[in-house]
Amino acid sequence: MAISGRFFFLALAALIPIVAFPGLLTWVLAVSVLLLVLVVDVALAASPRQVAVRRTLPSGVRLGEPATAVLRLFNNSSVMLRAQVKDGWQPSAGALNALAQVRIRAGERAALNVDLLPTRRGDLATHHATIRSFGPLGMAARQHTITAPGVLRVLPPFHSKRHLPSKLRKLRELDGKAAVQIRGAGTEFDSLRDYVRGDDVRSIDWRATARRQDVVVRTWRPERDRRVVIVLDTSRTSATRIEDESALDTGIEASLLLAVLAERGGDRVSLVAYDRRVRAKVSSTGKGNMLNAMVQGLAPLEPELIELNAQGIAGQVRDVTAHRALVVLVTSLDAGAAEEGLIPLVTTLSQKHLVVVASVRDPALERARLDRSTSTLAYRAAAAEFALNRREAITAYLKQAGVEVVDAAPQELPPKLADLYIRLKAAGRL
Amino acid sequence: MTAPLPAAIESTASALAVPESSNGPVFQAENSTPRQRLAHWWRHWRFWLIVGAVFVLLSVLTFLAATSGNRSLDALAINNPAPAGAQAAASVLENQGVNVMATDSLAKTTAALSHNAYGASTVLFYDPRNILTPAQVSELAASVEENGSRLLAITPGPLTLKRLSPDFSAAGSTAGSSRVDAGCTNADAQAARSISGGGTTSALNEGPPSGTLRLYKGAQTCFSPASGSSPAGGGLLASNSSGDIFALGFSGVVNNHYLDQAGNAALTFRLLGSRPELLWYTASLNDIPPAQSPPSLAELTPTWMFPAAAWLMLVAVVGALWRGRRNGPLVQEPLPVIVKASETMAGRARLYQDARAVETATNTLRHASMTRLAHALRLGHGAEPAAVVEAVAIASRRPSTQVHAILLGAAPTSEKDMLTIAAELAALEEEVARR
Repeated sequence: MAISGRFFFLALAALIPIVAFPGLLTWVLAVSVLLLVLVVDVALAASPRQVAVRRTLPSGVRLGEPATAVLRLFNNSSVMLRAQVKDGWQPSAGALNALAQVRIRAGERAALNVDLLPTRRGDLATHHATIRSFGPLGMAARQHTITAPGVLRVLPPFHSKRHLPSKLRKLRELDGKAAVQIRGAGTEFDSLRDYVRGDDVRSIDWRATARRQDVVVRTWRPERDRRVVIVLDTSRTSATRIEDESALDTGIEASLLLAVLAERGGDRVSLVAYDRRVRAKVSSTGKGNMLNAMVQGLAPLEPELIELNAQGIAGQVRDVTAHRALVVLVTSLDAGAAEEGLIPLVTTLSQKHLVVVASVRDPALERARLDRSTSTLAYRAAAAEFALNRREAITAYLKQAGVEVVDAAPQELPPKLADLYIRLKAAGRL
Repeated sequence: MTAPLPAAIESTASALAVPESSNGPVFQAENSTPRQRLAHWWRHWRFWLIVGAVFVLLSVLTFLAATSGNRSLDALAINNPAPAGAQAAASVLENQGVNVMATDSLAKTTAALSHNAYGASTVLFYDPRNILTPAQVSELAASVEENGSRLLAITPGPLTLKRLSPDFSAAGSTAGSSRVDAGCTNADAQAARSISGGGTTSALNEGPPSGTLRLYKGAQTCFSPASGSSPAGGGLLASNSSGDIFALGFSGVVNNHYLDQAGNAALTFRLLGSRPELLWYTASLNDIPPAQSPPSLAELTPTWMFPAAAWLMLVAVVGALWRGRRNGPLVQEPLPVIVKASETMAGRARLYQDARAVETATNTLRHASMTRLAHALRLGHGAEPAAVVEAVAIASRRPSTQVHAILLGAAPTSEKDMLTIAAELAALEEEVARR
């Protein structure tokens, strides 16, 4: 049961006869007219229980992009359905027109387009559709809620893809590079080509030159088919908000950029999201689009309020590959959490693998450090210096253990991690 | 909606076969009979319905219990069992065959008096708030005299006293004493021998406040306080020359709390119980002439006002139902826990500030500056502090004693000192960086 504004104004209009002819009879008469209207309208309304609902949802939408969910209604009753239909999306789905008016003749159907503008990453749900069916007078309605669950997967926005073209160009420059490149360890033979003035004379292939008229040089390319294992920490430290973005979101951006880059660079990428158990696991060895699989796997991740199980990470890496690999730990360098788990883990991992620790740095610390105008702010500056100092000490320790550290603000972390990868690849350290 | 439902569901099932061909499941209201729906509704609202029913029941019971007892809270009311009431005296008199009748206005009292037989009535007159005008008191006295009744006035004021009988005069007041002897020839007073006059008995402290006791002089004056605290020689009980109008200066003689003390009961029953009819007249607001009261609100409002106001209230309820009905159940938003990263830093800063840890804070600032300066001047990790000071002095073109004081000086004692050092450290770093 529900009543409309029309019914309210009808009740208000009944004030005129009540003032004009005061008395109990007028009052009772007015009440009975209202009740009659109510009963007649409800009785003539189409039953909302006779309506069937079907959903058509987009398979995935990037955060910040609009989507349209279609709600199809079938009027199975024998009268016309004049209804207000509410699609029960959760607020962060950003349903712009969740409440719609429909008129469906008996036995016919209609499709409602619900425009969504999601404001959060992850699986956004709708659980029901509520149908408020009005009678022909539009005064009163019957209401029923039909359970009709639906899920829209909102994918990470991947803002850092704007860095991709420039990083890919850098990567291509490495590939098939001329012999001017220093012949370092770990570079692989690529092809033979004609000598161009300026090439390193040491890379002239004399056998090939003897077979032909011209001088031929060997070219080199960076090694391929190396393993890159990205471990994304989803434990409690990833729940911090830095510059309007959670550390986990920044980690996802950085992981995506690195994964795409490494795949184009010919390496095999595996990604594990882990805290005390595996939250997501994607590998480029599988068939299909790697980026799509990663984005789908990372979309529902949320920070878990539990401590990271550092020992488990070593096992996960061993699980992915038995050979030497580039292990990228996207985690936090905060004092406490790092000393407990990260440092022992990294020292054991770095014996076999090349380890990179990527962490988000809070620019608020840097700002607080420099502002010393009042005594309160001076205490703040001291606290910020303390935090930075601890971080610096951990970074120094890690570097001593032969670990590469990328510690940057949220906007800079993805490109800096990509740069480090390109540098390592160029140096043939993979 | 009720009977044809199963058949309708069947027909829809066949109709639904067509849309089923395209992808996605079809959702529908679950098939339920009205009885099942009623059961579901009852399960859903059971708690609130039971709570509401209990609330209404308790309210009704409380209301009935409060109004059924017919009790009063007024002083000396015949249906007030509290210490200040007079139910004890009235019920004893009633048991002894005296017809006790409570009246609350002068008109009712005089009417009852004229209705009773000549000389068959006693009137108890109690006017604690001095509502009656002197003219009304005269009217009462005249009516009593005309009917040949007895009148017992309890604590009448001086003006009232004169109108009751010219024999009376006020003789001031007294703070009361534990026991007052009769000391007169009046038969009723002598039978009572002595009355408790409130005052210093321990029981007084527990009872209702007796206030000041009034002393009167009349043709016969009884119960004069013995100590002579009233030099004029007034007593707690006075009667006129004909012996049928009495003034009693202490209401406690009649009330529930003091009735059983000394000869209070004897005096009360003798004064009030000598005639078959007792009119227990307590002056009330009904004695104020009606011409003086303003017209009531109901007389001023037009006739349509009440029905219109009631209708508007009904419309307000309708409006609340219109706006208050939700479009379906509430939808929950699962929110992840996100904490601002700089909160640990802010917390540490507040700890420093609350503890006024000037020294610790300054040490931290100095250490950080030293490390950065050493790094900027390429002195390496393990550089000696003195070497850093020398290098900074050269780089900033400052005297090395000044640089030493800033970087390695004495610990500050106040926040002001700390602030100075912090600012100087920042300036020093800037100078070195600009070099």
